[in-house]
Amino acid sequence: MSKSKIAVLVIEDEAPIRRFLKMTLTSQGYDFSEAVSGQEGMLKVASEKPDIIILDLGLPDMDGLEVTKQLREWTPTPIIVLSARGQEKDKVEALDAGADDYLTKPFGVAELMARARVALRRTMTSSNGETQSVFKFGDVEVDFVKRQVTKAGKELHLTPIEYKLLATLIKYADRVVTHNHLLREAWGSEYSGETHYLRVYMAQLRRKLEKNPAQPKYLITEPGVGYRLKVSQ
Amino acid sequence: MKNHSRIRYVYALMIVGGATLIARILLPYFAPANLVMIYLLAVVIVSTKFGRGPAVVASVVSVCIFDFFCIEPFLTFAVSDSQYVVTFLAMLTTALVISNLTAAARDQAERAMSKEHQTSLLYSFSRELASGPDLTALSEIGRKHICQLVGKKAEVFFCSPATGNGDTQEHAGSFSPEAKILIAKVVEDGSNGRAVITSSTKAIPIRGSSSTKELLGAVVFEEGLGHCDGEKLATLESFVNQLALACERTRLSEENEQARVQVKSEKLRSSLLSSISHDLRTPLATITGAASGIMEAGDDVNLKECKEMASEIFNESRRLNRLVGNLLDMTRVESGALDIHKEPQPVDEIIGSAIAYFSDQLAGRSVETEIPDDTPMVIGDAVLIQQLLINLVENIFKYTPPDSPILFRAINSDAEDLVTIEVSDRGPGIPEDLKKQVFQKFVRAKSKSTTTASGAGLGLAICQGIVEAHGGKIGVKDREGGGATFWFTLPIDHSVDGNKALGEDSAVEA
Repeated sequence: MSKSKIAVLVIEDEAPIRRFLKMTLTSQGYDFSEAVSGQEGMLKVASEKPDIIILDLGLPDMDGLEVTKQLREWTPTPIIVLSARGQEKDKVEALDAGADDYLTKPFGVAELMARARVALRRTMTSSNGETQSVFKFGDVEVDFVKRQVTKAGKELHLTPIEYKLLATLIKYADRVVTHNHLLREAWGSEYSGETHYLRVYMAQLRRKLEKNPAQPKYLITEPGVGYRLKVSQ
Repeated sequence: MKNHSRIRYVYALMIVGGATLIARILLPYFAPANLVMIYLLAVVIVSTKFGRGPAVVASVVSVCIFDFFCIEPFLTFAVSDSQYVVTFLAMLTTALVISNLTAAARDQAERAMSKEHQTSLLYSFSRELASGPDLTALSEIGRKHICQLVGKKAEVFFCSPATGNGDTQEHAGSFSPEAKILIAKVVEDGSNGRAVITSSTKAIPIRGSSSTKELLGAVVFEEGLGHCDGEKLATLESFVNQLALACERTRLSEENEQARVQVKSEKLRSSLLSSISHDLRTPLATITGAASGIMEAGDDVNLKECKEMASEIFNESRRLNRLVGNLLDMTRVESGALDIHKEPQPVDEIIGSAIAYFSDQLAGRSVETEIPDDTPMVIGDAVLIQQLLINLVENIFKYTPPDSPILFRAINSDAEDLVTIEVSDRGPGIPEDLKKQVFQKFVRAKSKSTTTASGAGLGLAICQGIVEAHGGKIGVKDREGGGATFWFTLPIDHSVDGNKALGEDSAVEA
């Protein structure tokens, strides 16, 4: 990176949260900038061109979902949305509208930094243009060229849909992928909403990949939102 | 009615005719004076069977026929022996007296019987009224019995207690506009005290027994009461009085119930306030203390201590957050505003998400899961069920030693169409007398591992609310070998045919 610091824009109307984010992000070496409303936020995105946007879904002037949609019309800058528990629907909508990840308030710095790192990784790998041909997590190896999945050296037999699901999760490794997104990728857009299919396959995939499907280490469920392939520990 | 009485007279004459026939047959062998007895017998029969009127007619006709057929010269009313005139007079007098006496006895017997009948009706009516739980039931019971009594359609209304006079509420059936007008009339005439029921009455007000004679409701007869005799009307009046009493009693007990509920919710509110203020303050005290500790730390700050305090703040904040979440859920459960996104959920995913939530706190414990591979998916809201399991696990943290193991188990019972999920610990267990109560609000078991039981005692109540909203059950039992097992059930999902979904997939592969 030529830039010395990564620029973060926080769009949030609550002053204490902005202050706390400013403190932690600055101390973590980020370049911090803030906006208190959706309008101001969008202007700042245009003028300051931040590397990552942290967006509160409950803004006073406009819906965070609307902000996400409008931003996605012209910028691929990673967006992490903040929302409260019980607003899973809003989160899913924001994610489906193009947000990269979400955090449920209240959240810790560790979580925030992890999400931010992952979101940033996306823009960096895509700008580098390199794609890995082999992906590893735990004792599982996925060879995209041979379309082969092995666990502890032994080949696993995945059905085409299981393979597509796994490939999608790997593509968005460490990021949450919504139910609809996974359905679109594995089955096609006409299957959106048929989350029960997805659950059958995810359960299946977990049994093949995880040591204990009830305490998964990699294929993590985000209740009410989707799934996350947890690779970095 | 008229036909019926005419027939009685015809029967009376037929009996007299029969007596005449017998008298004619016996005439050659008996003195005519003795044959008078046959006619007197006929009069007795007529008066017992058909009452006073026919008996009098039978008496007069008997004398005439006796003269005509049995006294010489036959077949004329003329009398040859004048002493028969005395016989006729005596016969007529005796017949009339007999018919009067017998008819009186008969009337009395009839009255007694009818009285007994009405009494038994009244008795069964009041007994049923006593079992009526509310005004709707009372009006239905009243309608049924009054219909039975008068043999015509009747409706019973009660005024709604809040408005009293004027606003009559329908409690039974549907009413024609005329009936409603009649009721309105009853309500208007309301102030003149006790109603006098006559055969022209079409609506009877039901009035309270107190001095104000408050109007409680009305009994309406769309077809009037023209066909009822005085006896029935009197019984009807006692029916209406009974209805009034029952209505007053029900109102009183309803008022009592309301007062009781109010006291109870008052109590709930105050215990909620006290427990919440305690539970909010405890973590807040820790947070404030730890935060100020960091703030006040001098320049030679001990980084390790600071981090410890910060992690204390972090954990207590999370606890506060859970508490607030639970309080919100509680109000949502209670107001019925808990909106549930029911979706098929694999059981291992449900259990896994709860384990993942507590991954840090569970580090020191052995966490086992027993989920059979063939466990079907269940129907539920992922977020709410995670909350439910979080509450159960949080309880385990509170009441068991920090290294005691936890077991999650799923039991599939196809027969009952549900999956039971168990969360078991090796803690002190739940005392028998608390097993039912633990799911009530603000009930907390005395914790042995910590000196004070923390938490608002809401966790399990919310669990119950969530499970019930899913149509399941929740409970707690002793675990074999020590500890407690909390269990709940969720309905099996049938919308997914797993095999079908997988079948399509393998077809693609081939």
